[in-house]
Amino acid sequence: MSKVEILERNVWVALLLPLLAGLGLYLAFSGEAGMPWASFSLRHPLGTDEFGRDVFATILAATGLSLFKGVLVTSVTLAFSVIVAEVVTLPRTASFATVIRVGASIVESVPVVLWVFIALIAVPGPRLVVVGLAFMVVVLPIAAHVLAGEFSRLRQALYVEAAYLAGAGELRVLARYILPNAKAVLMPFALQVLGAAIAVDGAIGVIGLGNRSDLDLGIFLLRGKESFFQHPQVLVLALLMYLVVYGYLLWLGSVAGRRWPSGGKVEPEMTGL
Amino acid sequence: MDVRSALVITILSILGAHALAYLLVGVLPDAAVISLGLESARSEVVAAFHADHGIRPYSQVIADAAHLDLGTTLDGIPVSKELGHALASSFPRLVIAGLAIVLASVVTAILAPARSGALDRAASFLAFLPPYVMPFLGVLVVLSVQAAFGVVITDGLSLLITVTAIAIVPGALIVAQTASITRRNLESDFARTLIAVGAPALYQRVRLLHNVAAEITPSLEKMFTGMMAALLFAEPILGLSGFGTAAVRAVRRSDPDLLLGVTLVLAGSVAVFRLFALVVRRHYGLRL
Amino acid sequence: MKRTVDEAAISVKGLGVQDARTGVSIIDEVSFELRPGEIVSLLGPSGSGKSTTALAVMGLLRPPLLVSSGTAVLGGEKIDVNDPVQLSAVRGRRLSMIFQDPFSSLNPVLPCGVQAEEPLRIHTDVGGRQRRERVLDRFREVGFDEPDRIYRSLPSQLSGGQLQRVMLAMATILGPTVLLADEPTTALDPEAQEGILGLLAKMRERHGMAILLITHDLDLARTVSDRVLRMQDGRLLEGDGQVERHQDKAPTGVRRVMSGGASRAPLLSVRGLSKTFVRGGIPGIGRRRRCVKTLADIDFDLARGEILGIIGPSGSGKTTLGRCISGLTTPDQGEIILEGKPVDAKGKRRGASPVQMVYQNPYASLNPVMRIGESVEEGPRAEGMPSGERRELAVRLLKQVGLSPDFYSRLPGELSGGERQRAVIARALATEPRLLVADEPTASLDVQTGIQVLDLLKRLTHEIGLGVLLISHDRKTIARVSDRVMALHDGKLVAVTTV
Repeated sequence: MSKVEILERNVWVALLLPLLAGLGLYLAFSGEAGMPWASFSLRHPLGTDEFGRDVFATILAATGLSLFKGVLVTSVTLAFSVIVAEVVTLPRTASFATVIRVGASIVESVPVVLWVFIALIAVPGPRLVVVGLAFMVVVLPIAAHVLAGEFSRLRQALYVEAAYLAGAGELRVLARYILPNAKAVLMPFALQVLGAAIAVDGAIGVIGLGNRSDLDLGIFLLRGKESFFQHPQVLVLALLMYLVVYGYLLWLGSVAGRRWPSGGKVEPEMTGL
Repeated sequence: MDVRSALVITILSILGAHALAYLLVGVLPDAAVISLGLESARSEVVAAFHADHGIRPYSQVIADAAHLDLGTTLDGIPVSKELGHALASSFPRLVIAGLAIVLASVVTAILAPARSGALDRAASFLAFLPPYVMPFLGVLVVLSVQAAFGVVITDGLSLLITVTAIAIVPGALIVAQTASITRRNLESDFARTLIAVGAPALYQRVRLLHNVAAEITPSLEKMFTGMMAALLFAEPILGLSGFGTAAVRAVRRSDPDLLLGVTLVLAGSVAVFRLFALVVRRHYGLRL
Repeated sequence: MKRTVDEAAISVKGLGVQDARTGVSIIDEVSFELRPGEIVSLLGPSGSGKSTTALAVMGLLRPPLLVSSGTAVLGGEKIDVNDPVQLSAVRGRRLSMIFQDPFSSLNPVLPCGVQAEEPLRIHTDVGGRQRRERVLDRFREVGFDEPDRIYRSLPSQLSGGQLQRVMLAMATILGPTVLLADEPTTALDPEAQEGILGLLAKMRERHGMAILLITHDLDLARTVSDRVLRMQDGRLLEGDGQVERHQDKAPTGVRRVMSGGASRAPLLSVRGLSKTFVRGGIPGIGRRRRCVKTLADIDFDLARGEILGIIGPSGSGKTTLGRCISGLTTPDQGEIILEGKPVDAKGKRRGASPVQMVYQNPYASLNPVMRIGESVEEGPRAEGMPSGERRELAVRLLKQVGLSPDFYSRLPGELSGGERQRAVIARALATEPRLLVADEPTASLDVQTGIQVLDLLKRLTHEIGLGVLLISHDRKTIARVSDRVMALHDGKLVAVTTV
């Protein structure tokens, strides 16, 4: 089996590899700080930033951290969304489904990133927790609505009806009939949520709400723009990292699409910001 | 879903978004603490702040909004005036971006290859990027050209860069979906019926534009939200005044009335797109 | 070129179609002629190449299929079926086709009248108002009493029979000399079928059209055709195609009388069963739009070991009746008593239902990601049976329905339609049901396989004393295995007869 095939068989492992690589590089290179804005050298191939940190290592570490935070927030969000979607699609919960639908309409009326900005300035607390919770609260009704649509469709499948007739309980139906057959929608949607989570995390730095020294790709974009004429490598590398990360996520999506074909059910989507 | 249900949900969405923003901005924190920072330790300063910028009760906010009074910014400027100027600056950019997206969609429907390929991959990639990546790419290009050739950026070029930054992500979504919808419809039985009565290939594609229009309507709302999200970043990053810059200023300064006004404008304009999609789908007899 | 009376309207010689990827021949050396005003049936089982032949003549094959050999001469003019430009000029004008599924063959977003105008828009310079008038005339000719309403209607607003008439109007509006009709009645109920066949005969009489009617139904072919060509495995069989007419035999009659052997103890009693569906709106927000009374006061009994056939046109309430009896749909009124106890609705029941279902679509009846053995074991698993015993039971049941033990570890995608339907029956039997509701169990299968499935049901009924409700719109299916037949129409029970 080739390395690509191994990766394709283990999508989640593939996702975790880069963040491990990023953290590893950071540990390897972070060591002691060098001179601020040092020029290119063997030790610092792309020079240092205003804090004396290696530009390449810190941007790579920021990328890895973004992926890590994104995976964490996405996993928690989707876990709750699956629970809500399952409850919504049970019989006698039609009104609750309406509440979720209206909730999704409300949060979709405004870009997700603006909700997160407002939550960040309104709610005191550690940034990761506040942003993560805000993202989850905002995305939950949208995700639950999408998943509920798919779960409802699958509940009407003849094989699900037959399972109920055979005496299968709700948990069994969810675990063996609905979730495995929802992968064609769930996996691409999970990658979209992950893309949105990474984008929101960077957006906070882009508009200047974070600290300049944060290991944050958005902050690097902002600082890169400010110092472009003297140190263009910061902006270039930060942009390159975004293109690489999103290209990678898209590749994972195509892998998931081949592994769990949707038969045309899933249309291309934006990050949903 | 029937028309009445769709209208009810639309109205609930606008009110709900506004109320949620009010809850977050006006009820949870003490705006004085956020706005005044260290000065908030002085009680007389806080009292003066509350006298000038105290958050109004929600019933009054709604009543005032009905008269187009959206409160005042932290600088004392009426929010409706501030947002009016901002929208006037942003409106031409949004219109040009919207038209460019529609044109790209029509061209894609006519010319998209029968099999998915490079166009789809490129469009899917662009649609997936965060909305601030393209403005920064625009900045990179502009600053690189300036550094290399000392070229002055004209208004036209600035408009082109701004419109591209706003349109490219949502436009890529629409192009990707148009290509996918067209391809699916070309394989359909009703497309085969059209060929069976003698329709040439171009005629077939033109007739299928109706199907594209009908099927793409659910994405119009996402397209518009994407354009507004891009605007939030494109204008401040490119140093332009407009709705996006006003929104970012409202966030940075924790300006409650301005934030509520921004939310109301966004929710209201998304609602307009929703209703437009509803009308188009009803026209084509599709489920809402 | 002047056409003589005896000259063929279309002559196809040595037609061959190949799969371009594998080189496998799909049809080979197919030759036939249609004379003006003649109806010729092309008969054969599913997969014999009938539709492929018609699509090849029309130049409508989709990749990877392509025409590898053969010629077609249409009214004296040689047609290159691989030349899209030449084909565009003749399609719709001199050579037309209607397809099996009218629901998917019309554009869902355009009004039917606008679509029926397409041939006029493509091939003529006729203006908008005149186009509309010609379409309205043609709509009247195909039997529409309200052509204006049909013109404005979207396909979703019309029935299958109406849509097929629209298709016929569209295909014949320019008076083509040849019409290819690919199973035009298969997706329709018996009433609509007769209407369409009558229209085809009328087209032949009035316009001298030559019609190639593709069908798998021998009785239908004999009733309407001048000649019958038989196809198998991609080739035309020998024979002059002349039709033996059986004028004294009803094409769809209920013939056989079941001999005894089944116990007549009552198993199922249904009294006063009624169901009304509400359509439209969102719960809690939208107002209810309309009520559709699907079943009204249904009364009947079913004996142990009996097969009761339920027949009726599309929309008569057959499926709703089956779903009410199995507990999947809750009736509004009435009672359903099985072995002296009321049948529980899905949400209220614990364990396996004593009523199991066999569905029309075997491709959607099995979980695509679950192996056959695990699907069959679902009922015993819910009852708490240990895994070793479950496996033994599953293997035994698979053998009982005619599947070998190695089907246990296969995925549904590896099975044919008939094999899947057998697996579905095995799954149903695993719960030791008292009653089986078979809803159009052979509709998606070819004739041969359908017969095998029906015979299996009959055998199982005798072997284990199962009661079976067999739902179908096809009289031959019902007649083959049923002890009694119950007819539904518009949700009402209209007749009960003994076979």
